[in-house]
Amino acid sequence: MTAESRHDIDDLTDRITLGDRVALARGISLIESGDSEGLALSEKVFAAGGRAHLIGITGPPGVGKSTLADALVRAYRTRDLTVAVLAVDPVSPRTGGATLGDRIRMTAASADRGVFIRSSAARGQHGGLGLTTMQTARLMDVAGYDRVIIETVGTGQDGVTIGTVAATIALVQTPNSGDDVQALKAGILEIADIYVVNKAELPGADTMIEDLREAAEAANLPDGWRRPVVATTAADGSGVEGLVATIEAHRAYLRSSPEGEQRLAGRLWAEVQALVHNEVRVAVDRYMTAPATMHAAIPALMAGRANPIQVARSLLAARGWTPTRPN
Amino acid sequence: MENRPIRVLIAKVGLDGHDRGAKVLTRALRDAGMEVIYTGLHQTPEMVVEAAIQEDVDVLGLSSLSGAHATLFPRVIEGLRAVGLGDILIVAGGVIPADDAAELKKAGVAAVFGPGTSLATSIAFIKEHAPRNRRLSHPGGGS
Ligand SMILES: Nc1nc2c(ncn2[C@@H]2O[C@H](COP(=O)(O)OP(=O)(O)OP(=O)(O)O)[C@@H](O)[C@H]2O)c(=O)[nH]1
Ligand SMILES: [Mg+2]
Repeated sequence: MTAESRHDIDDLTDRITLGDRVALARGISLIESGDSEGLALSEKVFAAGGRAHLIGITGPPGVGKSTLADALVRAYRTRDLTVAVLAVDPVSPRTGGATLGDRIRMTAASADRGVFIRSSAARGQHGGLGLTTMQTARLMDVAGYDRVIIETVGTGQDGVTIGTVAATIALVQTPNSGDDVQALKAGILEIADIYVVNKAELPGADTMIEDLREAAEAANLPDGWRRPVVATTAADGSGVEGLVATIEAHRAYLRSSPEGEQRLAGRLWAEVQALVHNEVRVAVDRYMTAPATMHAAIPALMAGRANPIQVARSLLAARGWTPTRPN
Repeated sequence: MENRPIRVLIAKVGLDGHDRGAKVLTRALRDAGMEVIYTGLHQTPEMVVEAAIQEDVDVLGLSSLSGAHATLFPRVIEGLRAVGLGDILIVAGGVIPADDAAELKKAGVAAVFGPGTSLATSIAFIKEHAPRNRRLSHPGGGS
């Protein structure tokens, strides 16, 4: 990185911490680009982070996550808290393009300086969540937003889940999800702190609430947080005050129990892990797709003179990697 | 930030309730590898400017079928310039008479895609003219 871009990063950092929205937006782009400037920015702002409460909203497509995020924004604004929203959407693996439509539901942001909404296609990250998500959330925190809401349909890569990105996680279901509680992705019931039944005005809500209460019983630990089930109709705002109160109760719980610290440690370590994985993956991809590597090995494989396991071992050995399962 | 795909905001301003055209363009741009943010109907110029700031887009596609373009589009452009984002490529679509199109171009709209414009033409124009390597450190900072 040049001295000039170092100076630029310093300047951008100052402006972001002073609450300059244009600078924050550009800083997020820098992080998304994955360039060294983005890393430099993340490094630079790290010490200023840690003030905001990070709230994850996860659940299947169409359950009302964006509508709920919008309703939460409004509720927090009446409490005089500022809010940033990061809406993560998957990228088309074929074209690399993406339609980011979450903003349609988020009208609270229109002209309110206390709200900042960013749609992210978080490329190169399966399902969307990853290093970029963590670093973007931190930038929003550093910019001074009191609450940062992260919306995602779920999965990530390199061990990044909504649980390693946010401090309080709300899992959203709808009455239509029917008897799907059993079918939920393994682990998500344990990762989530609050279960939400949205579209609660629809028939079947009571059954869904009952099912989730049972699931909460199964997921709760003897002396830990008791997972509540909250019913909302995000479309008209009913139940949203209750959800805010529940999120804030969880925030208070994390601050008063050792779990808060443990989970912070888990999030930080997940970020370190993702950084290391990213580097290693890039290095491995380069090595494996280098023509020299391929041309040397493929003829022997084709002729039956070498087998894939041998080739893999010798490639690893050439890089000084010792096999985890020696023969 | 050369590796970043082109980011586009598609915004409907004015009171008409049709967004089929905007949606078709949104999908076409996505299929051309861009990241497209769609904001929905009935956006005010202030809302569009805010969205363009927060989403840090390279391109803004404004659409209006209700004749609101003559007054509303220039207000968007002024709003962007006021925060130093005058380098965003602005294109317009919808039903815009030729005279108005000339006025809009003077106001800072780079291209007006009338009803007959093919998607391929619109995509090619955006790919060619979208600002690349925008300044990292002084967005909106003048100088
Ligand atoms: N009946 C009813 N519909 C709702 C409610 N909340 C949201 N919706 C509708 O559900 C649809 C999807 O809402 P979104 O907020 O976009 O859902 P989402 O989970 O963010 O969707 P993705 O981001 O695509 O996964 C929209 O048509 C909303 O208007 C609700 O409380 N009741
Ligand atoms: Mg959504």
